Amino acid sequence: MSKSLAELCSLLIEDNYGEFYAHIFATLLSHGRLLALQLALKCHLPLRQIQHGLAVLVQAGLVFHHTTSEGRTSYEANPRNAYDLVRPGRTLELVQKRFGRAASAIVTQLLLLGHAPVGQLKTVNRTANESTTVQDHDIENDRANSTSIVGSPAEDRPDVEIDNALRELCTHGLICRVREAHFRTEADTRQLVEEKVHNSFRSTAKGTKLKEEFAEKVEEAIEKEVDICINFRKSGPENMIPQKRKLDDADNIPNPKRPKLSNGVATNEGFDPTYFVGDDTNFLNDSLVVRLNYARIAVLFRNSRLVSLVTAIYGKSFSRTYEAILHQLEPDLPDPKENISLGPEQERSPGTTSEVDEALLAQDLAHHETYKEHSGSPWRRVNGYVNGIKHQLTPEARSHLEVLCQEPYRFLSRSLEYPDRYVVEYSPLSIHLRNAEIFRIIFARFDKYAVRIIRVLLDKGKLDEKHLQETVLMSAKELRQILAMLQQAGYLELQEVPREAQRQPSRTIYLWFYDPDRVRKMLIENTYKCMARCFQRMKVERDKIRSTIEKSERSDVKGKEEKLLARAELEVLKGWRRKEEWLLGEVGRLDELIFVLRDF
Amino acid sequence: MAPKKSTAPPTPGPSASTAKDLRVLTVNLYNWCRVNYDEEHILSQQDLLAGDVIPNKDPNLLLAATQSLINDRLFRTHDLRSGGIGWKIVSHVSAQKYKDLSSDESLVYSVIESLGRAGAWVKTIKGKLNLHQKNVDQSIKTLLQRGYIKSMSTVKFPQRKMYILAGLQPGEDATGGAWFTDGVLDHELLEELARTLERRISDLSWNQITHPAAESTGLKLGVSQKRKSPDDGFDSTIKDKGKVRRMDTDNAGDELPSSSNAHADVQHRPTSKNQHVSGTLLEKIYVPYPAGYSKYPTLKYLTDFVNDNKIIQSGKITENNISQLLEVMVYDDKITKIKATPDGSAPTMYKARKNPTQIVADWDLAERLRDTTRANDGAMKVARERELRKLGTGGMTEIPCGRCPVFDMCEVGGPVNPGNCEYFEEWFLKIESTQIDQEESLVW
Ligand code: SF4
Repeated sequence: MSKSLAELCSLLIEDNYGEFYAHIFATLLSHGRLLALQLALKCHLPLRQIQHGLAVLVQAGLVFHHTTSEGRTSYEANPRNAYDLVRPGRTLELVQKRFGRAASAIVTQLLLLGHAPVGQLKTVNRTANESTTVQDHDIENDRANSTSIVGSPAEDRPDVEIDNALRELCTHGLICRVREAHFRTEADTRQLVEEKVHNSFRSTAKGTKLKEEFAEKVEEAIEKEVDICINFRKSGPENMIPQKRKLDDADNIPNPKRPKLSNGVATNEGFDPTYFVGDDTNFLNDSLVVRLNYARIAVLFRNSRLVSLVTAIYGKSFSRTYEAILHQLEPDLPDPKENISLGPEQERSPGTTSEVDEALLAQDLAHHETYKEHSGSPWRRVNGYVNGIKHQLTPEARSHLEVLCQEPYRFLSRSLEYPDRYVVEYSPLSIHLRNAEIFRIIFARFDKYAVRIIRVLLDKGKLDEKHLQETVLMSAKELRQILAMLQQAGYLELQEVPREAQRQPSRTIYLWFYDPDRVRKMLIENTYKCMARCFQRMKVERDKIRSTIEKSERSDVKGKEEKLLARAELEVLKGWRRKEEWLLGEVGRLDELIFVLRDF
Repeated sequence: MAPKKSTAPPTPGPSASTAKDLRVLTVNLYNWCRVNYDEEHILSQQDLLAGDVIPNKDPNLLLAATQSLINDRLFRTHDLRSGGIGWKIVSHVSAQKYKDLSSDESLVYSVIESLGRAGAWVKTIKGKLNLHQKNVDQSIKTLLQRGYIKSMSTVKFPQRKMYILAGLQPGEDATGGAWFTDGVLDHELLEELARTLERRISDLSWNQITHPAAESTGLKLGVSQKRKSPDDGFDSTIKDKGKVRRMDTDNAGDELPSSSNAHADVQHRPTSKNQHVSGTLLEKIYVPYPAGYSKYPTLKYLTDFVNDNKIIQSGKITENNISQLLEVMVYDDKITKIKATPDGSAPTMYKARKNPTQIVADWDLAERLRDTTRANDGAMKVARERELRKLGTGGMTEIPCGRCPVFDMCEVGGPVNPGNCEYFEEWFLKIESTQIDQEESLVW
């Protein structure tokens, strides 16, 4: 865990919850796991306060806790969730754009509460919703909402809109269930599970076989402990969760997520996990506790990035088709790997591809206009049939698909097994997006020649200066200057290959190379640091005019600033608000960078 | 092998072993070679024996003959590619030169000669001959004085002292090829040609649809095809357009005047014309050709295009050079390569990344940027506009920390910290000015 990230996380908590909590969090972060008493000592604060603080942080999911069998509870910081504090704005924006107002109201609620039982979401929501509808009347999805939400009387009859939105958010994995295990670190969970499995484990196998079997059992149990999927399949006939992939024998297609979806609870091994909420056989049971799944936000964001890339390359009509495809795939995508700590980049599982069916797509496109406006119900897209008519792709749409399949971008590929299905291979596309982002940064910092050099090296591997010069068509002097700059900034590296044992400089080959993963990590680190600087600067700006801000926040002044404050003071306040806005805007863009570089 | 005696040139017969006979034999061998081979050919032993000049194909005789020719500088030894030794014939004129030279000089001369158009580096000469530096220098001096060799320079190693035979022009490796003027990379030429090519490729990479509805509704931008109804005859339009396109490419000659004019415009008076150009182009809509379209330009087409239109003043340009440039353009993300067939049997085609409208708009912008930088006013405005245009703007490039020289040192509580940072002040002022700019003029 890097210093910049730690700094940033504490700043984020300070920004959201206040200095006191940030202090506790930072202490936990720097010391690792602590008991409450130890923490109190380190923080020089009374235990009671610490306990109160920890309770809030645990509730917000920012601190893990774990109670041993002896009853001692220790705490550990959760930087992953802390970082997500930077994302509520983006989350709301994406959700609103994609799923409409009702969904965004639900998400707002979840953002406020951290996690909440479904029942609460269903009721609280409505009021939140109504208050917002009036204000943002101009947002694009308005039409659908204004009729249903504003028009609906605020009685106690179940709100269809909200219900549908909830379902849709669940289908897309944006809302996931909270289990007890989510409040523990992975290691703790593993230990607990191992103990339990050990107690109940019976097997006739021996030696390595025994070990394997045991490990398998443990993995299985852990899966179950941390499983975030909400089970739909048992919710009765009114359940309209897309059965689309059943079109043909889709269930035979290996998909890492499917087993969980189809038989989440129906496992009866000798081990009964205590669920955070006992019974989840009922779809969206009111008592089911859910939270927002930030990992899915990355999926939404990646899709929106891909769509804009297609728009830039092929034009709007193509991106419309592509958007429809991506939206179809969304629910079935596994979560992108969460690796905040920048370990070696993991091999992406083949599960990052899903297939989309032509017939379904045709239908989506046919419904596109209405589809755009829909706010909560994707359920009409079942099996690619609408009113019993199987849809065919229009020739235009088909030719769009073929263009999208083209090199070098390959936004789509044809499925190998089924001729009428298409596959989106996410990982090469993610890499493309990532590289494009890095090139953009290099272009902005240096010039187009620097980008050219990097791209040549990325393509050809290690090159010595002579060859490089021939390929990039630059004069030796300029080339050397740019190479030196790039090397100094950490984008390029130089390898020495001595031709003889003496390692004479004159008898040594120097090879330039570009290591994308290293550069990616460096950029992520720098981005964390930049974000931290933005927050720090905000603090500085705030401190500068502290007295004025305090005055404006006095209860007797608040709301009547115009009347009660001097002109100069108002100016100062305005200027500060603007600066704050810029800085926050910048933070948002830096976060985009993190999305692209880390989460895609 | 009976006929050899009868067909043998007037030689004294198989028993020839006297000095005089050898003399005649050598002369015959030399003449036979001059008739049958040119100077560049490397003769192998088989080649020499094939002429039936050597009686009985006697290798010993051949050896004696070649040795005497070598001594007379009329033959030069060479390594054969297949291994073993071969020979090259030397003209009497060159041979004469050697005769006038001292032994050191002739050695140096022979090395320089053997390296041909690549040129010989002094160190190479020294290394090959194992002579003392002084002797080499002395010999070179004499050779230069006599006008046998001249000095040259090579792009790759500008500092090296190189020599080449007086009658030869340095090879492409040394001059750097078409992109070098007097040993210096010609940036303007490259940029200009890249622009021309990009434009040309772009014209051929996008299907231009002049949709009457689009024109009547006054659609402003080429990219926004929102109002295009989904069934606006995508296919039929393509067919029609395809014909036009084919005519275009077939009758490339007809097009020449106009396209070269366009180029001239770009080259000489870019500003005055661009406004107009973009004004007309904005009416058109470009859509990608369907997959499998096979009339994107190829290397050959583009080379011909450059040569036929005499875009480069200094004469013809080779496919090699153009391919070098295209390669760079691919790395600049201006064009992409398209394989016509999956197995790569058909030549690679090139497709432009941007359509002509976008390209012209970009030039326009660049032009304005250049103008305003000079005037140093509103440059920010243009830069900002460019920034906004780009896909996925932001992050790291705008904020001062992203390009901060003391980024690594900056730390809370350190000597450089976010509190005392001056870059932020500057930055606030800068955005303030751009924001005002933007509010003022969004119409250009
Ligand atoms: S805060 Fe200022 S000094 Fe620190 S990194 Fe950013 S720009 Fe540089």
